[in-house]
Amino acid sequence: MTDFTQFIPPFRLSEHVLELWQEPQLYDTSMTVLMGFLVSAVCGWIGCYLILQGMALLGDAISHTVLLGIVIVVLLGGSFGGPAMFCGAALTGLATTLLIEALHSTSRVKEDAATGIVFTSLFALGVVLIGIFAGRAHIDTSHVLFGNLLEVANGQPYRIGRWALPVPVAQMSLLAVLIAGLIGAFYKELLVVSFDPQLAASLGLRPRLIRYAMMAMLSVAVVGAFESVGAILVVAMLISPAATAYLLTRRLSMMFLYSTIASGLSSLFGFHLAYWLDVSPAGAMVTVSCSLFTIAFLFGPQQGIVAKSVRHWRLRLRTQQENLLRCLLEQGAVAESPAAQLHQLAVSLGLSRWSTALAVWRLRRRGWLLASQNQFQQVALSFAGRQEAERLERAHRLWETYLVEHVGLAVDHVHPTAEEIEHLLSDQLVEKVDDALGHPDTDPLGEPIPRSSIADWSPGVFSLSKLRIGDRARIVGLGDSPVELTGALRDSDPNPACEVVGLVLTLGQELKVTARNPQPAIWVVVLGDGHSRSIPHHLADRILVQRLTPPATDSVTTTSPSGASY
Amino acid sequence: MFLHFPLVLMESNAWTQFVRFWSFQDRAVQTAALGVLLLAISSGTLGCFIVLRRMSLLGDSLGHAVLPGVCIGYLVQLRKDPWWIVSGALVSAFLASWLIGFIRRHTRLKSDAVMGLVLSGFYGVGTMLLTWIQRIPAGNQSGLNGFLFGQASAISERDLYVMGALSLVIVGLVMALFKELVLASFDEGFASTIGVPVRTLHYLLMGLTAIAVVIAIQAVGLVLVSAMLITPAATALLATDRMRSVVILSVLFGVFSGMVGLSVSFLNSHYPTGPFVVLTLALVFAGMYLFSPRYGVASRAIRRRRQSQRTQRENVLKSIYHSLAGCANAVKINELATLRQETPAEIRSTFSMLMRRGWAQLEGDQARLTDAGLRRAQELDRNYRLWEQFLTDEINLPIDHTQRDAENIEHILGPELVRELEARFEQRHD
Amino acid sequence: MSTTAVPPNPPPIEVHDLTVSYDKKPVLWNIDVSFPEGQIIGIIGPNGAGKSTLIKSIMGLMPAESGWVKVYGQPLARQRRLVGYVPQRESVDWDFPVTVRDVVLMGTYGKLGLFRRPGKAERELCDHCLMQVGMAAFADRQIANLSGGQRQRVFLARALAQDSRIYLMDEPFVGVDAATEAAIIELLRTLKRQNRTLLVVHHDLQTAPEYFDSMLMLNMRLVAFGPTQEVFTTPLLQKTYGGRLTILSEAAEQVAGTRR
Repeated sequence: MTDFTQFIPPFRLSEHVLELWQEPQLYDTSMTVLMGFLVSAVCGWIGCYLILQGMALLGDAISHTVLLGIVIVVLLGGSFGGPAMFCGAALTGLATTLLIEALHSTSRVKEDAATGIVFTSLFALGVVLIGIFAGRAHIDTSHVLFGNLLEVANGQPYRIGRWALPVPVAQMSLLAVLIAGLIGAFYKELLVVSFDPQLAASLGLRPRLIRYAMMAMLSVAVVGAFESVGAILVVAMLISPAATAYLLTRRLSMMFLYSTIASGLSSLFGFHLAYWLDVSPAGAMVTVSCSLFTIAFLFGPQQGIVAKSVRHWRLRLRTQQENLLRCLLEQGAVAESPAAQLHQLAVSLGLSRWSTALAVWRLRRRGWLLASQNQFQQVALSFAGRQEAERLERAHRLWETYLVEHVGLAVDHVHPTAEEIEHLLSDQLVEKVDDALGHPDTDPLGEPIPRSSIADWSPGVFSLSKLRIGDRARIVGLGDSPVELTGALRDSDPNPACEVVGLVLTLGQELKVTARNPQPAIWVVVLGDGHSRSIPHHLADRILVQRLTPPATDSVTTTSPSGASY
Repeated sequence: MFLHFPLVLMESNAWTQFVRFWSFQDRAVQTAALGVLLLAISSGTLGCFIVLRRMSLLGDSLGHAVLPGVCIGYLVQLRKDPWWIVSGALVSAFLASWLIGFIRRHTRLKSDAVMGLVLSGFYGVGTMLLTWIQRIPAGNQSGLNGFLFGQASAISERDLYVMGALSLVIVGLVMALFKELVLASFDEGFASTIGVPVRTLHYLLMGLTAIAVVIAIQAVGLVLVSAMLITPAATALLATDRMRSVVILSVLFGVFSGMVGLSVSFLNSHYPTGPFVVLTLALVFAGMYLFSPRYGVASRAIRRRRQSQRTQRENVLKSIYHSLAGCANAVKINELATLRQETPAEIRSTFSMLMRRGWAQLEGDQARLTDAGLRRAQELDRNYRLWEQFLTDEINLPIDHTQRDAENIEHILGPELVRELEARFEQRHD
Repeated sequence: MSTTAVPPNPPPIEVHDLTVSYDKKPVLWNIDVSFPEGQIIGIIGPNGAGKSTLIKSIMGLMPAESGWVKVYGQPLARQRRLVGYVPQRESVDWDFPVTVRDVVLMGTYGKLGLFRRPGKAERELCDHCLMQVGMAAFADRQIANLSGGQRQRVFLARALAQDSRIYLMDEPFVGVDAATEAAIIELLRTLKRQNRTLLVVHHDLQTAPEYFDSMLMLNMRLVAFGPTQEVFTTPLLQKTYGGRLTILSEAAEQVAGTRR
């Protein structure tokens, strides 16, 4: 076995990076990096559409077949990079697309196989022509394979005032401006076409035509890129920056930005990598570009694997903590009462020692848990912890009730599902469930449902529908309730304002809930003057009250925060 | 950075080279031909499943993805040792196929984008390694460039052993699991409900594809290797309807194109093998696409044309028959034309076809049926009535629809079906 | 919850608290039902109610998130041979180079096991099955040249070749001609007389009461299950087809959002 590390030259910052950006090498360096950037960026923009439309394979195919167009134009005496070549390439791209379509629409060859057959054949034809006419065509196969980015700067410069750009760079810049202009001008059409071709067709756009135009554009970009990166590595430029951008954002405009940034970075780092190791700059660029993808894949803020596993881990931790809280509440291990034995809890929840310790530590840090002196052997809920536990208990029991009453599950079948879902529901949805169920006091098994601890819409003010039997309250508002809680569900009712008036209630009146009918939900209240009223659910939602007494009848809950405030 | 091809055969007259190749006397020719044979068998067999499962891009991806492995395999010994190169290539292909699945599972990217990404990423790294190897001493003579577009003449006898062993693995496994592979490719859901391990089979196919690619790269090159997998199989699928024949034909097409491509590439030592083989494959495919007896585009067009001519012919025959049944034993062309709502010229041209078959005679402008023509017309008429009755009885179509359908469709009824219909209706009318 | 001993005659299919998610989003909630033997049972519900999902998860084609399925008191993996499956016709590529007979032979592969090839006995069985569905004349045809109804008959013949106790069929009546529909239902009744159990996903409410002995009404959750005359009632149909439970769908979205 040979030690091939000996062939890796040592990396020197000054020689491999800094000196390149000083005279006399500055021009060559900047032009090469610029060219790499332009090629990659232009391909990346088109790549964004290819990825969104699921046409990466077609992009791959066209980047190969354009070779044939180039070879034919060169053999017919066209100059490299001249207008004839761009036209030839665009035609080849179109021909490829049409050929593939014709093949799979007129025979039983499926689209993927048709693409594979067409592009390998045309590419092979191109290579064969190069082989046969090796003397006449000024391209050789290594061009096709790797391109030659380093020769870009050596060409005849094209002067614009003080600025001197090598011809290929000037050409590519022009192409970049042109393609950026086209994308800008047809941004919304292209968006519709890639999002929903049928919608586009119904809007009078021509999805097929736009598709062909895009393929022609792609072919032209491939010609521009051909000399510097070769026919095969173009595929990487098409897909890699766009795929990286796709992982980082869900908006098309941002995809363009990110893919452009990825192109710039890959061109810069790729160039230095290539210079250091003395390897193909195109290959190095692609390597860097794919490394960028890997980084986005692993560490992307939303969809990165690391972020995702952290989220899943957090969710698991949260579930464990929440189960612990509820377990403590059920055991009555609250502030003053005797504390629960931790290891028993762990056993009953099926948690390992470590997970339990971690959960306890995190809960203590949030101030939800009180631990005894002898290091976590005994724990109890703090006041805040108890509120949190009650919130969870409420979500759990309400969801159970919902499953029984609306989904139609048998009472003894609901527990396993409720246990899991409760951790994932938002408070808002829980309140919606509460409302849909008519604000029940107990679940189907007769267990009490804790009150909502979230203050309704101003501190201490509830809608009457949240009151339970025995509650005393003063009316502070008549009319519409907060829309986000009940409005959406009540829209179809007859004008509630009139009905509220019909109840003859006045602001400041005191009332006491004496009875409740669960289905349909009706609150029977006795007013201060001794009269009683039956208030249906949709009106109870619209009467705002302030509670006067701490709820004495509740068995599990003691004081809710709003009740405690006075 | 010109590609370097070892000069196996001296430049000489093309015809001499051609004869020299096809006589298979030369040791170098034998080795190369045997290598191509092995590769055609293995990719031809496997390609059928790849095409049917619509995994065509996979072959292309894995093809490009072996490049870094090949380079690292070379670096281990600093020479082209087949075992190291094959191991490197295999590891790299397996890694690529795992990565494709992994990225696919964890992102929203579509599978074609993922494959394109893995393809180009591996190829990019491979390009770096390859150009780096060419810089190091002895690396320039590596012959690794032959792996890009294929150089069958560079196959050594040691390579053949490796290729042979790997082909045996592919053909053996495919034959042993043929029934399950067909089922899982045809109907994956059903296959898994009867206990066929479809996921295992899928990974097995990916693994075998990696092996097939590795076998093929020396002869056709990694850039075009996917054609060896896709094209012969797609060609065979155009030719036949039985899975077994598809596999056999696919191998045959592969072997044929491989040999032809190889012989052409032997004409000049600068010619890489891969493109010539792929081009031959493409020509075979094009031929089959156009002229496959059953599914060829051209043959179908010809069939359609014949069918419509026949319909036309028999309609005229029937018209004559009906006109004759009413009155005289001859009918005027012009009368026929009004009857059929066609121009007399059209009738005449159809009529000439009838005459060529000896079904009718023309005396002046009087059309007359021969005995054979009369028999044929009677037969047609009976078929028509049978069909009409069949349609009304079985499908409850309103009668005017039946009229039109029957006119076109009776020509399609074969004698077998007619007999079946007859038996059924005789039974019913008894 | 009380744990009961396995009854002496376990039901053909017992689904217990089955919750199935698609891309982390629950699409079936707590399905709990056990099917009686020797009946044609219809599964009905609106589009997107999870009818096919239920069949697929019973067949183990979609993993259950919680709950389990038992076939005659045993997990499905041990009882595969007792269960036959007729997938939707669109699920396969009809250009595939196999003949009608090849497809029907596939029904015998489960019994053959790995490596063994179908022999004369299997061939005869398959010809017999083809005759039962009236497709004997087409045995050597390539499957692409068949009409929709004929394709469905081929799938049925394949299921017959499986010779199972239980059949699960995913929309067998979609897109078939009247003659095929009549033939299929006749075949189902024959199977039922042999005391086999048939679970059929169906969406035509017109024919449903005529075809099925029992019905399972589904809309993300089990709405009702029972003999047709008891459950095929206007209130239950309204409950099934009267739109989604908004809170349930919203909860499903939230669950999916948090888990992803």
